[in-house]
Amino acid sequence: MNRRDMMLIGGLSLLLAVLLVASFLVGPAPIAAGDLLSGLMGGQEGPVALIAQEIRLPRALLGALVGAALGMAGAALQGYLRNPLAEPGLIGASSAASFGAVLVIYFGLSAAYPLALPLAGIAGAGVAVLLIQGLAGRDASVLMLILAGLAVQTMAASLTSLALNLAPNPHAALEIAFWLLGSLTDRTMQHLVVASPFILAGLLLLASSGKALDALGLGERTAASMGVDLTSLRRRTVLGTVLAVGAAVSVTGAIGFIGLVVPHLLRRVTGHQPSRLLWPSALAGACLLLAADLGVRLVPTNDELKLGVVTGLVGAPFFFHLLLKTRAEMR
Amino acid sequence: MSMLQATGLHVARGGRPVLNGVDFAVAGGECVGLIGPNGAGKSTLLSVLAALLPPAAGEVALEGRALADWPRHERARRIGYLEQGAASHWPLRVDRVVTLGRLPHAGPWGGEGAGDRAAITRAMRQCEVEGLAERIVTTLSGGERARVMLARVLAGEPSILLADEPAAGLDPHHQLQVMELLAGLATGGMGVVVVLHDLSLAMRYCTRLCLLDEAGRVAADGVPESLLESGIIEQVYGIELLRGSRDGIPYVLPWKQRGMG
Repeated sequence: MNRRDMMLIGGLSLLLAVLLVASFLVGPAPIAAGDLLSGLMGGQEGPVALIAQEIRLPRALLGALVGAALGMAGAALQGYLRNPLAEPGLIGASSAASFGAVLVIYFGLSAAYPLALPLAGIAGAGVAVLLIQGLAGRDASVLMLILAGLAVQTMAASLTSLALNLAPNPHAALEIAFWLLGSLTDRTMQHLVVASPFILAGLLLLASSGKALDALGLGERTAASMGVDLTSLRRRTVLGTVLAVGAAVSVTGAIGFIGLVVPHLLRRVTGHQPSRLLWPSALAGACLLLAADLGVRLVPTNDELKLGVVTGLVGAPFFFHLLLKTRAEMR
Repeated sequence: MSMLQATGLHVARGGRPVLNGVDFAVAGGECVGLIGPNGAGKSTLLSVLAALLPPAAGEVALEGRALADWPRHERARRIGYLEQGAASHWPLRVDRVVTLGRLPHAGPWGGEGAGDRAAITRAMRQCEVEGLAERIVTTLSGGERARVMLARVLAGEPSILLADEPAAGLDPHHQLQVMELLAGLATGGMGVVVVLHDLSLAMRYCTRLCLLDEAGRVAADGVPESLLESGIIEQVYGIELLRGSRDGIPYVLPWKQRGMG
């Protein structure tokens, strides 16, 4: 790792620390920073301690973890597919993971078996990735990839709508609908505990493929001649993405575009090298998600804006911009 | 002793034999040209030698040990493979591309050591790409890119170099440059195998030629002059060659198709 990468990672870590603290201190209940901190350390009783330990802390930590998962998964997928438009959301993994989680909520399984939620998300994301590979093939063109992603997304969305349609009562429907919008509100320590092992395992798997992804940028045959095991690389990338994104989406709902925007912003400073992009994308993804989550709490609206709505509003124009750029390059 | 030796290779594609009982060997100090008409299986043979394609039958041994028995990285340290039309998908800096060539020598998390840097510098000097170090590889001309990609292979310090049509698509100046580089590497002790379409370049720069025919068999294997004398090249390609010599070095030029007035 060279000095520039060190500085980038150091700077992003610092920013992440600041945002974590800010996320912990900002909320609808106006509580002094000192009280919150002592509540966290167990020096307070009653509602302040409860808010600090059960609401603010999991929200901040989950935000960072989910952002990191989406950021690194985006960077790894782009490196693997050699395509800057690949993103967990665009290839349908996020919406399929949502559908898996919706099923669990629909049948009320998450209360009885807390692990059901991340496992269903992971299963959904896994099915999506397999479908994409089957539909588009491994050396897919940009167009095929996006079309296959669209097909998988449409299917997952329809199935989710079906669940909404058949929801036993309006309250359940509303719960699912709100959950679908993507948010960190009201996530508990339990969400954090069930999701984080899968997310961390996914992140480590993805990070371990950095050098192989670099080699893959020179073509599959060249990479293989350099000692890269292509089968193992595919397994690690797919499994890492599915674990990280599936578990992340299952607790927060689909939060789009982080995996697209973050690697794109960092690609130039990391010299377009996939391995150098992985950890900075995780850190920047965490920062971006925390910042967006702070934003929804600070913007004065009647109902708190949903995080997924905000990232979508910011991310979609970005996607337009990337598409235009790709079109120009294809000419 | 041969460093890389193949015996009785068979490869079929779509029911048609591409390699049909091919024996091949290369030793250090040789620059072997793989020649033959389109579809004769030159690139396929190179892929098998590079362990990118398992043969249906037959064996390849590297330093006396079956290719498949080598751990991936050990094998990659010994055999360098230059893909046809090799290019980088990402707009990396040239020195980064060459550095990637050290991959077979690094662990999954390892950094660069002094030995790595020395090998990278040497490879860049050999291929005369030091001046391009900070350029972006996707913006280079074809000749520059070919040299960078060769430097990438050489950075891995292989004892055997397999190059698939490294001269294709280059202008004559760069063709001569690449071939002189490859011949020089062989003189330096490397075993070089190079797939070539250009018979003039093959005659001129290779120490040995292996001619494959359309049935996927070795039609001839020997020093360039012996292949030329036997007329086998003309027979397999169905052409007539114009021969000459300059300063005692023979040259050939594909002149016309066989049986045409």
